[in-house]
Amino acid sequence: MMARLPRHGRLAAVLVVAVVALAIVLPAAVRAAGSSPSPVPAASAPAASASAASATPATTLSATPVAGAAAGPGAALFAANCSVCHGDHGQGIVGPSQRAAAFPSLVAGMVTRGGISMPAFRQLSPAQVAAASDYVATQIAAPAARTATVAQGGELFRLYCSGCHSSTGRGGALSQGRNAPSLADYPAAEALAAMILGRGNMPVFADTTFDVRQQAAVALYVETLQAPPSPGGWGLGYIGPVTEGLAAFVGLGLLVLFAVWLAWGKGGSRAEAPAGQVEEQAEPRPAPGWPAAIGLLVAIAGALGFVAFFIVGDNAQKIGGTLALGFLGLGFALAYWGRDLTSDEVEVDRYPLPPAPSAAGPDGTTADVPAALGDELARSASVLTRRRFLTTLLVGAAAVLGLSQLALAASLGPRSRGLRTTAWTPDARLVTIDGVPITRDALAGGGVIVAFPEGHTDAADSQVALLHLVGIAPLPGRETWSPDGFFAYSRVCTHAGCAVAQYEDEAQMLLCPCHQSTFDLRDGCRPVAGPAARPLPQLPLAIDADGFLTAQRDFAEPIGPGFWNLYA
Amino acid sequence: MPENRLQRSLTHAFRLPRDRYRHVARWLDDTTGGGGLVRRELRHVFPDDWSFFFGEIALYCFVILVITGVYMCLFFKASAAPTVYLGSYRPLRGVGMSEAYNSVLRLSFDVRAGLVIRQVHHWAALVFAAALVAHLFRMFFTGAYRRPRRLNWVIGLSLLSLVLVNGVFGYSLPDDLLSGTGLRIAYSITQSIPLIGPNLASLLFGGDFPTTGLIPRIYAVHILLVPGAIAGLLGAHMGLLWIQRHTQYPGRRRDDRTIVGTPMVPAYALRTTGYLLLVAGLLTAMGGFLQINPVWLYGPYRPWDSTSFAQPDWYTGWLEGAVRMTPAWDIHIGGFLLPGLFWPAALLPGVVAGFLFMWPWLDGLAMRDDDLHNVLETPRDRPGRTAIGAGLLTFFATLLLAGGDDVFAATFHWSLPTLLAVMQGLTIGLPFVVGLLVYAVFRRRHLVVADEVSP
Repeated sequence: MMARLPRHGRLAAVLVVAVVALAIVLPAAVRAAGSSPSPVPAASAPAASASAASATPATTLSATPVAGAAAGPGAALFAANCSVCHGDHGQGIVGPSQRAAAFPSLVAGMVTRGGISMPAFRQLSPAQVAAASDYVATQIAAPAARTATVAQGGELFRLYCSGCHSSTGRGGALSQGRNAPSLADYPAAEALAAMILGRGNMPVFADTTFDVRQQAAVALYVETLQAPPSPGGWGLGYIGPVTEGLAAFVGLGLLVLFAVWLAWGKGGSRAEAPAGQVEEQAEPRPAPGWPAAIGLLVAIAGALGFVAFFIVGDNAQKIGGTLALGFLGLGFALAYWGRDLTSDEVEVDRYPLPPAPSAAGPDGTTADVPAALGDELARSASVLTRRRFLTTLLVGAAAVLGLSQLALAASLGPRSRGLRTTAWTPDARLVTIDGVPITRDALAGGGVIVAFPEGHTDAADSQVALLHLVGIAPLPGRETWSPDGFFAYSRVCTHAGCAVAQYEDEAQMLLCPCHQSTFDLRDGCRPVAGPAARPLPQLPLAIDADGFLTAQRDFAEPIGPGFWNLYA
Repeated sequence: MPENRLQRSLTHAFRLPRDRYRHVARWLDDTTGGGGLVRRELRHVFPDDWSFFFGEIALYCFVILVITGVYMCLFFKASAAPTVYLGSYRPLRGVGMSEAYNSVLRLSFDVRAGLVIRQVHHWAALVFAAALVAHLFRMFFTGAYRRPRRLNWVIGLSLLSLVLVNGVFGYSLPDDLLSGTGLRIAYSITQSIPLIGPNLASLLFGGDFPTTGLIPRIYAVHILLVPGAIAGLLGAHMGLLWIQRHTQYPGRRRDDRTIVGTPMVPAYALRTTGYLLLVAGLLTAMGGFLQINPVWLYGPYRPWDSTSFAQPDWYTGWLEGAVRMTPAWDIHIGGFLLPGLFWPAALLPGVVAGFLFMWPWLDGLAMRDDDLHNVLETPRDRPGRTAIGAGLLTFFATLLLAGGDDVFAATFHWSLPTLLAVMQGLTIGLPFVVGLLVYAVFRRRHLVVADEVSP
């Protein structure tokens, strides 16, 4: 026996050394091959490369030969291919204005893929596409649009777009069987076109809600969402907890498979052993040891790989994958050891059932433990119960002292007081989220603005959806609330309080993306579908002498979800 | 052949002379006085079956949650104080956000292995809840809740409740758009409770929503209060299991007095330790390869932002579905309002929890069974109970699916209102259909088996 061991030992040692060397060399090689050593996710590389040029406008502009493009082939290409529809100055004729197309990647994506009624320009070479895109971005687009950043775009996206298209751009459901499309299916610049033209139930956003810089910023953000940065691995469709929950059950299923393997034929399921005795099977199964050895070697390799990848700061897949290998290898080896390399013992024992109350022990005393325990407790309790008055007082004192601690709860929060009023005061101006006052010229082309009282752009309960509705009559008693056709409705859902962020232009509905409550704008935002029961409160508007939109006063009723004394 | 020194020393380490083990045992007995107890319990019997592993999965998920959670505590900043993000994730650079969300981004992008740990934590939470629910229904379908294990059923359900609540708190802590949306809804649900609602909500949340004091409050509850309670109840749960011993499926030599299984040491201990590591390995693999809760895509919570596909984690999904499907049932009682949100979000979980907590006693009353049981039943033995369980599962499943109705509608280009109506019908009807079907099938098989057994 001992004579064979050293040979195995040497084999194992060689394997260990090989695995260690591999684990050290591999990450280093990967690193040398140019993988990003920073902890910034390398998995975002596809997205980053797609949008790298546009992600920071500063680098984009400095990297673009502006002067060269102006005089180069870009101008000619533009004149030959683009100006027919977009106009000589990109002002828009049949096709939409190009004033916001300030980033070459946006233009190039649209030229190569096409969208809405624009064809894909497949006849152009990549160099020609690049030249034309540079020309549009630097010479045609408005200079203001070039200052847009992807981060600003993200903020606007989550305020105006994600209600329908979701924060990851994967679309959403609307009323009456309609759906908002996933933005991953279209080139990012098509979002610009949609903002300018409006699409079905999508209202116009360009120049009504977004200025040209904001349009460009939103388009940049849409571009990052084409392939969302995913340092965490496979994105599971970017639709949030629904697929994550499914994956969790798949994980549980795999664990059940492990369990089935572990319990298979174990614990004397078919075995028979005399009570109180340990039975060892006559012929222990001659299970080989090498599976456990492989498991242990995998564990070593995984652990070393984990450390190596951790040191070079590699991505989550390599760090997590190697660590998982380590756990799985060691776990398999131990489980296999306990399952197949341990003699298949079956133990038989007794459940601790109480004997029948009448049963007497071998020495004649009662074995009724609960009865004995009860007697003992009764003896002890008599110390208290003998002094009845003192005992009553004791219970009372303990209760009073205990209840007195409830006073601490008063520090936890003030009494609710803000459910009936908001930050709207008489003559308060309506401003955008950036604090810009809104004039009677706003929303000439339709659309929606999220408005706040001036000086209170952080007041969650005061947010309103401002709409310019043509041909919709105000409700009786509210004739003076909507000057020039401007309607403002509370944006806090009367069901569960989410922001009512979806606006369907054709259907004239406001929807809440949380539970799909649907409010009819033609009928004072009365709920027509979903779980909300009360209409969205309307804010009475006025137009002051300088042409700014103002509130006449606060809402006439409490905004947001219901509570028991709402009408009290 | 020369002796391998490593080999020799390893052999010596484990093949100690018997004296050495005696020495250790004597030390143990001297210092603890528990030598006899340990000796007896080394042979503690564990019956084997794959379905007994659900509890182990849950236990090991808890271990992994604690370890990863402690690691994240070192980086998470439980504060709603406003900051501007300046980290390495470019699409959010310069965006205003809370310290809490900022620190989660830092953990995800700028702390080595931070994202893996965060994702393992979240996957462990989801699998934890799934394992607990599977565990619960394994108990239900096999009658493991009968005397003498009624108390442990109650403890187990308390554990499940605490785990679900703590899951919701964990979902809320990063202060991303989904977190804040969930908290906003939780506030509205609290507010919907009759009489005390508005003030209770204000008390719990520290004022009218949104409040700056909420995140530190949730943090204390999430990392200390609830995990402490879970650890305590888990100790009681396992302690009772140890004292009463595990139930077993019927089999040869097995009866309510005699237990047959694998002794704890060495076989069972090796297997279960291996299983702990297998659970850890699978969760780490999920954490490394499956992206979960990408908060950088959701953005920081601002009360005026919102998103479609706003779902809670799966274990709250049944309530989400109930909230979506319950019609606008606002009730007016003498000038007072009972908001429709109260029924699905506050009353339903109360009724479900009440029913499950009382189930062992209900079942005992219905079956006139007050005996002590250690041998499990199979689903076939009790067609009625199996039908009730199948109906319950169907009910939860339809609610859960309805909680994702907008995702299904948008993904498969279905009409959401139509889907909602279909789901409403299925939620009411399907549990009864499934229950009756299961009853019919199992009743027949039960009778067939009974015929075969009886002469």
